[in-house]
Amino acid sequence: MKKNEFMAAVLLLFIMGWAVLSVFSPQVNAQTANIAPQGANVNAQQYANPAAQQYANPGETKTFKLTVQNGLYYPREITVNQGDKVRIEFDQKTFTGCMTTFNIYDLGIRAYVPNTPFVEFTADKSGAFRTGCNMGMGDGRIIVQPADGKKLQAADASPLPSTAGSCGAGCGCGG
Amino acid sequence: MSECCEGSETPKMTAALTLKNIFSSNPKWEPERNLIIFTGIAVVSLLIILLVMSMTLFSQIPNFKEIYFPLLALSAIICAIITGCGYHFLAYKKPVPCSIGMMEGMSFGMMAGFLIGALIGATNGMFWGSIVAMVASSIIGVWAGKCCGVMGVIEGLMAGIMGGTMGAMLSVMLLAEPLPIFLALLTFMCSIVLIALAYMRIVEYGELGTNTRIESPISMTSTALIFFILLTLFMVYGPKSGPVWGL
Repeated sequence: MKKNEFMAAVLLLFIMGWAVLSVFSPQVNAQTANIAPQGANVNAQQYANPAAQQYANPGETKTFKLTVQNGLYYPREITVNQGDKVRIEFDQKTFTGCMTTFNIYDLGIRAYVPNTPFVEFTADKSGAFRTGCNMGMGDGRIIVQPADGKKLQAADASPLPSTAGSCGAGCGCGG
Repeated sequence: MSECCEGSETPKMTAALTLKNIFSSNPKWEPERNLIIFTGIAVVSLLIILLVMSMTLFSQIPNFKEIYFPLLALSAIICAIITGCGYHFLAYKKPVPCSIGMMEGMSFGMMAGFLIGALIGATNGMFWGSIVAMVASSIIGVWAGKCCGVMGVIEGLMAGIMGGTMGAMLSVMLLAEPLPIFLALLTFMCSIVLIALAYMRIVEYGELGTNTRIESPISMTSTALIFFILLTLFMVYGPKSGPVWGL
């Protein structure tokens, strides 16, 4: 018996043994697969609807409608004050390709747009926060003005370009 | 595809003539005929194993048939085709010029990277898809390209890196679209490239001939099975990053 045949036989035996075990203890199998009983895996839950799960706040919110044009987010910048509750609604039909993922990187907010009509969060931290898709496209910004009235530094407050680069918005995928 | 490359010493061989020869009873073409049959056996065997696994091992995973099964069926076909093409490559034990080795490394590495990356990218996200496909296809590319020395090795390495990352990226970009249809088309197109690569060998070196000893169908199926099981376990139970197919 050759090496590859031996390895394949071992793997096949392992799979068969596992299959037999899974028939008798199905719960273990489901847990190993990282699958929740409702049918969504852990990863899916994270992206399924963060707006509803993490950021829903009662009370007044500042609402913005975000669209994608020529590989860029519009409005290019969203400016709010520290402490504001912010709601960003997606114009879902304009989010295509890799742009279906939306991130505010430094705030840890991420969404899969086809499943998520909006995200909500409280702007606790002042500063300029980049937004983009999983591949870094979109190139938007959320500016949170400090509550103490100080202005952001020039680098943070400088305007974003209104046109995409020669390769989409600069991610290298040409999308 | 009817002309030989410049500098080739073998007689002209058209694609139609090659197909006609392979499917004739000519004993000179028996190794090629057997390789096609063995690849078919490997595809059927892997699909049967997948079916058994989906009825037992994966039966508790919700929505398995809708989310994973089509992708795993494609992975079974892909593993068998890559293995079949690899065995065809192994059957030629002649020294090859740099240009042929580079073509082998590039085509093999790129196609394997594209397919593996697209599949793992769909089920495990772009990060893991890129990482796994880049490593796996670079190894495949280097293995295929090393027959002619360092140029083939570098070409295989480059193709693996590029194909692995591009495959995963494409899947993530198409998550909101009918991804399995795209993956089926991608598999078909990559298979055409691998078949064309096998045809290129025939054009460049001539047919394998009656003296060539090819591996048994058990050996070929075993190799395909190893790839398939490792790929399947990673796709289903492996770590996930970012959005994945079937949210």
